[in-house]
Amino acid sequence: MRWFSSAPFLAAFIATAAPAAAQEAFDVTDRSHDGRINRQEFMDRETEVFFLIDANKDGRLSITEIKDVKETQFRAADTNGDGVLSMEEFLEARNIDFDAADTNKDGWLSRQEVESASK
Amino acid sequence: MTFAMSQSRQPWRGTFAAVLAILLLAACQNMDDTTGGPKTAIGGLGGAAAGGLLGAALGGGGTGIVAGALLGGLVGGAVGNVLDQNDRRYANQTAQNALEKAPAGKATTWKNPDTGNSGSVTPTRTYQTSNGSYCREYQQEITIDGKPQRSYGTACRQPDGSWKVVNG
Repeated sequence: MRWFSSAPFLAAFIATAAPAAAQEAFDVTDRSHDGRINRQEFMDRETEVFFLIDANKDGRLSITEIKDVKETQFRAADTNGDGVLSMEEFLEARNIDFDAADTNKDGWLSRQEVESASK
Repeated sequence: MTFAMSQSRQPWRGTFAAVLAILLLAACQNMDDTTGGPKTAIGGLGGAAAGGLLGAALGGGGTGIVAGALLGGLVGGAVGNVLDQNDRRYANQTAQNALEKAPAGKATTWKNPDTGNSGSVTPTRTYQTSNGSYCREYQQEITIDGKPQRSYGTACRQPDGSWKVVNG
């Protein structure tokens, strides 16, 4: 019974938590607080992301440490083919992701562009 | 008669099979293009990877105090001398937790209910050294008798998982 009564609450929590997390991530990345993210801010954040998802803190990322990455994309980013991503390889791949996310090619990422790219 | 008709259709079957194969191949290629999409340019990881383009799903950090290896040094100097042993324990454990888990810009706080002293540690920048180990710059604020004091430093992660101040 408690499960049924708490299910709507959980659903509502999950629905609101994800956008809140996305907004928080955007605000943390946008260090100049101008409502948009430039490439330097983006790369600084991605350095953080690398650190945070490096579960065993060995300074490299295995495919199992990166959530929702496609194997083909992981391999493409792994330019030296050693099966893991170094910080340099990860940032280079994310640099390409920045360009792909910047759909209007103005050199900045808006909230909408980040939201669209993150789906 | 039936046999003759069947024989006469064989070339069509071959042609039909070839066309079907080409169509299927084209469909598969289109599917790859569609699933890859313009967002996932060659060489990129895709915006959904790593918890979204900005790692929104990573979470991390938090304001709780966790048990863990206790290292001296993260709270030192004149401020450290004023704090009592429990204050220093809270502060050091909070610093270890913040440096290990908190994203840059997110404060992890502590408060000693016995003394009323409190503090926070906020990582501000992360980088990797040439040997692959992590270092993080941080901002620390400690409030003693209601007076906040702010300091900055850099700590690097040691092979045993602890963080050691290298500049602060």
